[in-house]
Amino acid sequence: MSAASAAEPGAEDLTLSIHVPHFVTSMLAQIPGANEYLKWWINLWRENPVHLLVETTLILLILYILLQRPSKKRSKMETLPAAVAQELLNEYEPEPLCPPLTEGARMVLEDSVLLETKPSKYTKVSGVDKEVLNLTTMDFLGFGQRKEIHKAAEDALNKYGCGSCGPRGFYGSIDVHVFLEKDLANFFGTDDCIVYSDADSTATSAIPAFSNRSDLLVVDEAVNDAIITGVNLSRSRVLFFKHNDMEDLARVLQKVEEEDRRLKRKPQRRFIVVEGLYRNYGDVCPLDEVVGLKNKYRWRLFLDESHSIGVFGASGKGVAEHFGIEMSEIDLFVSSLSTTFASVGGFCVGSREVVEHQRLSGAGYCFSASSPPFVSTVASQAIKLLTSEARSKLAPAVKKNAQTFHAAVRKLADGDLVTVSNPSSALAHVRLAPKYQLAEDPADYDEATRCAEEKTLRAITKKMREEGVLATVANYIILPDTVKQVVGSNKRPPLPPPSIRFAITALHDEDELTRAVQTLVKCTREALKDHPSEAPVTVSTPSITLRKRH
Amino acid sequence: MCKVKEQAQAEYMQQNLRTTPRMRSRTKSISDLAEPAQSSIVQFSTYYIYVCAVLIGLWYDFVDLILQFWFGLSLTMQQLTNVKPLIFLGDPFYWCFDDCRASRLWNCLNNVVSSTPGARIEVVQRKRNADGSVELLDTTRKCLNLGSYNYLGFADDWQNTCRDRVMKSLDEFGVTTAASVVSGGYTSVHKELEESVAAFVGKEAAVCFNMGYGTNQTAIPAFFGKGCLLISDTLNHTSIVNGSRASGATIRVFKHNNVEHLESVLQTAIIEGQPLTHRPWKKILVMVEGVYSMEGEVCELAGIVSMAKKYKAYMYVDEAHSIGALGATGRGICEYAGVDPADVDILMGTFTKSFSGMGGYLASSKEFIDYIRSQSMGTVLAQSMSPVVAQQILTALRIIDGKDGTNLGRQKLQDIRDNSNYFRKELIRMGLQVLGDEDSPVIPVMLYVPTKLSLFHELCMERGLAVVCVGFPAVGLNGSRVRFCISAGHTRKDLEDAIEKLREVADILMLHYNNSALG
Repeated sequence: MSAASAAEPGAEDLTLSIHVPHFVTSMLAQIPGANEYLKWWINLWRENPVHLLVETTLILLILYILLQRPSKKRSKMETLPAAVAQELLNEYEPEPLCPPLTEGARMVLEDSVLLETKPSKYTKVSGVDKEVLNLTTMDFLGFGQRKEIHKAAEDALNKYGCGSCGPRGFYGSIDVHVFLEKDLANFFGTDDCIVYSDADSTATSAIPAFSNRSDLLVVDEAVNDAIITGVNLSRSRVLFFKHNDMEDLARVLQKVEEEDRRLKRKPQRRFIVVEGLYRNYGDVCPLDEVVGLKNKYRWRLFLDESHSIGVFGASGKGVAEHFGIEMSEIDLFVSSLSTTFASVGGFCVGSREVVEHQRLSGAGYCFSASSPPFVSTVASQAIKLLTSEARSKLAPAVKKNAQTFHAAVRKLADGDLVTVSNPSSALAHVRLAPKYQLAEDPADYDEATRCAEEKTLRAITKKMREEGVLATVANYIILPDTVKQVVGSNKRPPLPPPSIRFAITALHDEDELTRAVQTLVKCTREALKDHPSEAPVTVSTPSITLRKRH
Repeated sequence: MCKVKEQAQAEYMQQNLRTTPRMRSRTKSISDLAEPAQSSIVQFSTYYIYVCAVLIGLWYDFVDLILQFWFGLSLTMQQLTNVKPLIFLGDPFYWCFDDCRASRLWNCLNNVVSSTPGARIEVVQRKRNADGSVELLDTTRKCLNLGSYNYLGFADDWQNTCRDRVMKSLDEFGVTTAASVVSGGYTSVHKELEESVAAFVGKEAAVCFNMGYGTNQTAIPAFFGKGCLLISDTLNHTSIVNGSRASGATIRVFKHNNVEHLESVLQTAIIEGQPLTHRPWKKILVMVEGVYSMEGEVCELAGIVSMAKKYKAYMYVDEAHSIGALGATGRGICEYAGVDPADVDILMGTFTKSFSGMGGYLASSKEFIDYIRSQSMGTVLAQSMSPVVAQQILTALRIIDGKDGTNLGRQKLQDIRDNSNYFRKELIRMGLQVLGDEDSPVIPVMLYVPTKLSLFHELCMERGLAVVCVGFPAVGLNGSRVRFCISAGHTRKDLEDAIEKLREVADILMLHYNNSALG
């Protein structure tokens, strides 16, 4: 106001008859040009006093805000005396960089094997004298051992060298990457395809590219860690539904719809996130029902088919083909090149918009170096093999082998072991029978019970290795909990129960698989002798109860 | 600022007399003298162009909507039948912006190469159709490659240096392991590689991941979580940012390469403790990069390490662009800055650049590496590195380290330093605004105005130069630039030719921002 009020008395001197102190006019007279400025102000006041008042208030407001800002941000640090601050700084003691290894983590390290030869059907493992039957490599159709694949890799290495020396955007796109994308798009019958250089970063990049803070994801509890990380990074609202429980999924979708009606929500992007074949369980998602629900409630679908490609479906396109679902029904179709395709990396097929958007905002595509050219040539060659042979020979072979394996476990294990996976799945998870399980539900496992059960399983796999069969206990990690908590949502999903994981390939034959199961059963019987009969008691931390104050 | 830097360095030297690292005399480099500054008129025109691009995009969208309404009647039909419409997959605003921007920069991005990414490459020519799709033509153009991260030139002499060993490894171990590091995807090549890397960078142990981006993304969440603080340089790579976000730890940033600001951030953090609870932080990690990929700047490691030490914070250095490119023997930023590797808790790096491979590593104490190996998504669940790639890196490492019995590695390191410094000096002499420090193989030149990006690329392509032009999301709005990556595979003749051609282009596009405000 000061400027305006200073103008008013001056104005009176010339036009209005208000008394002005003499010293004001004399002071103004000394400043050159001040009189013209005064006149200008007076005219403004005369023409539109409201305008002048409003503008002056605005200017003062801005000044006020500008002046207030620094004093508001005064930190605690500035108010502290220097000596106290120094004391606080000296007092600070950080925790060690990493906590000591837990029992479970130590077992993971002790149990990991070192391969001394190619991971083919029979391989040499350090510490074991004779060759072992390999049931860990997830090369389901055995393409890794094919001459054609080897030849493709050799030719590409000779032509392009090893590395691609750059991200896809900046001269890291070698023509074979583009050819592979075309091959994959043709194979799946979609518009376009985008290839990532790592299998796990595909889901981790694709989800955040299409879903952000204002969006909503409904996720199966049992999805693999790459998807969970992607979900975390997207910062979307997340609702979990019980593993493969379609009633629960319908309930969640219904609840969201009711909420919508109540809260009159703005439209948001919504995805149902599922895996075709669950890596952590080996069971198949009832995709036909999921698609039905998705269409009923008008949601979109994210599908990860990393472990079903090449095994399910008449031409090896995965679980979606197995259920006869059109590719156009699936908005984001993500899969891996590192399983059946015997290569390295992952890909996402879909409409042109979906792919082009990822080329600009898929973090794992934009900011990472592209995969070495020979890896893409190998994948292209694998697609050729898949289209020419899979339908006739390999896919039926691997399916038959899987069924043989599952049947053998059921027959021979005699109630000591159970499989949790689908009988046609090439990825088999075998668990101890319920009578030996230390907790009933995956959610009931705590660190001690999980450790105790895993110890028995690891004893089994160790004995199996010595007997000549290589299989591994499925390893999991606890991901940091950054999922936004939603009112009414279920808790974070539990870790899958402990199990032994077998990868059955088209290369195995019936005798080998039967022998493997016989060895498994024999080793289990031996290991179960040391198995604790009941769950170890864990020392629970005392919980703090807050006393109510009246 | 400079004074604090020097003080911190001196302090560090005093603490570390036992190691007596050979300090490089960090005299003021030429690029320090050419302090980049943008004149206000250029700044204004930059923003003006972006505003225009967005407005045009919005106008197109509006017209689309009207047309759809007029002809398709799809919206009204949906309203009539009361069907909930499917929501558009992309964020509409970003979509229209991306569309506008990317369609104007289509010739700079995703260029396809049909040869080995060495000093000379065959770039496939492309054509843009009316519907916006890009089609590859059959013809190629031979270009001098100033864009790939082929720092030590292993892509050029691969046939002579690495071929035999890599092919032998392909025969022995095959293309892929199809399993994770801890569950059956770990071969003797991986083991040898990890041991060699650890020995090379001067740490107890190392662990390798299939993807460089994934190394940061999966390793940081494994050891940092709630109640921990990550202090990150403002210009750190997206992989570090995403890894930090996935960890759930609190993230603070300090001004790029500013030791003084880092100190104040550290002090505030320790004194104030965690937000809300004011408990002390469980642990604090300072994260920097050795060479910043978009700025070409070398990290002030000595100062930053001494600050981290002073306030008991841990250090994490991402050596993606510095390992195998900086230092007399290629051991990266620690060697270059004269810092004892023992003072940096975690050294991370990638194999894509100098080693012509793929993937990344973490090197640290045995205890820490064991922890990461058993707890990180990248080792427990993701696929392990291809044995062929592992062998490639191992072979490159042997050559850099001189273990192959030749002087080739030393020669390559000498070449890349000479080439980089020559190229940088010539560009500065031309009057261009060059970012970054001496000895860094990444040499960005400011273009500022985004419309110049596409044109610069085209003019260079016509003259047989393959360059990388970087626009908005990768750098700031008014930070459009061209980035040259120099390789040991370039000859002096190549670079002299390139400079001559760049001089012509700079004249046409008026890029001499150092000489006059308008270039």
